[in-house]
Amino acid sequence: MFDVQVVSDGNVKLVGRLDASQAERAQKILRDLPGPVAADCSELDYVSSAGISVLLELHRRLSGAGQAFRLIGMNPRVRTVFVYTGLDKVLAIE
Amino acid sequence: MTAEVWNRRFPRDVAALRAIFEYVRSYVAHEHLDPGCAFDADLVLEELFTNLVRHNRGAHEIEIAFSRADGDLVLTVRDFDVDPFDPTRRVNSAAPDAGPDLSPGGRGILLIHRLSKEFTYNYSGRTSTLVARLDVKRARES
Repeated sequence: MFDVQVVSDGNVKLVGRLDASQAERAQKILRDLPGPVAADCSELDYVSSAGISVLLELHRRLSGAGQAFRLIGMNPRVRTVFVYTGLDKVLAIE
Repeated sequence: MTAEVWNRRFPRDVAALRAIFEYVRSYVAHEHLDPGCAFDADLVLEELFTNLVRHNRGAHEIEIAFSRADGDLVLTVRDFDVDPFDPTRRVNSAAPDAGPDLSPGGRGILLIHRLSKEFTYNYSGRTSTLVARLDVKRARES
């Protein structure tokens, strides 16, 4: 299961597994999120290409509006998924 | 001695992913593999399965099988009564120096190439068979 917890203005926490079965739900939660956004990924256990697409869409929307989108505290295995797809060079991963 | 093969069929629906991941956990525990193997196997199977769900209109179920070969974890996915569809050829950006592939389907196939020692496709008797071979040692170390 995947969840987005709004911690405070512009700060969210991504929790659980962002796979293809959760992508549509995640998209609905994130599409109205105002920017800038800092996403705590310390409890994000898994992400697939479908999940990456959702995050990339949010990145595109916010960057189009001149606002930042940062992914923070990712565990090494989840980070590997971004590295293998080359998106560690596109998204702000801290 | 014949290597043990686990296989099970799952509904052609992304909602089946949860059951597929549970099946991976069971096999990884049975084989005493590192949890890192489960992460890689989940990822490769999700990308294979969702590609077939998206692109094929075949039988109601897709088969997933696990086996071991020379220590590697071998993931086999079979799609029955389908036209040929070879996802191994969908992307040519598996080269280590390739830039980011920003297309949704391309990223999934790229991940399979990156995580697998071998990734092959075979089509016979209207059945597509995809095999991804994972290096258990590499999954443990990464």
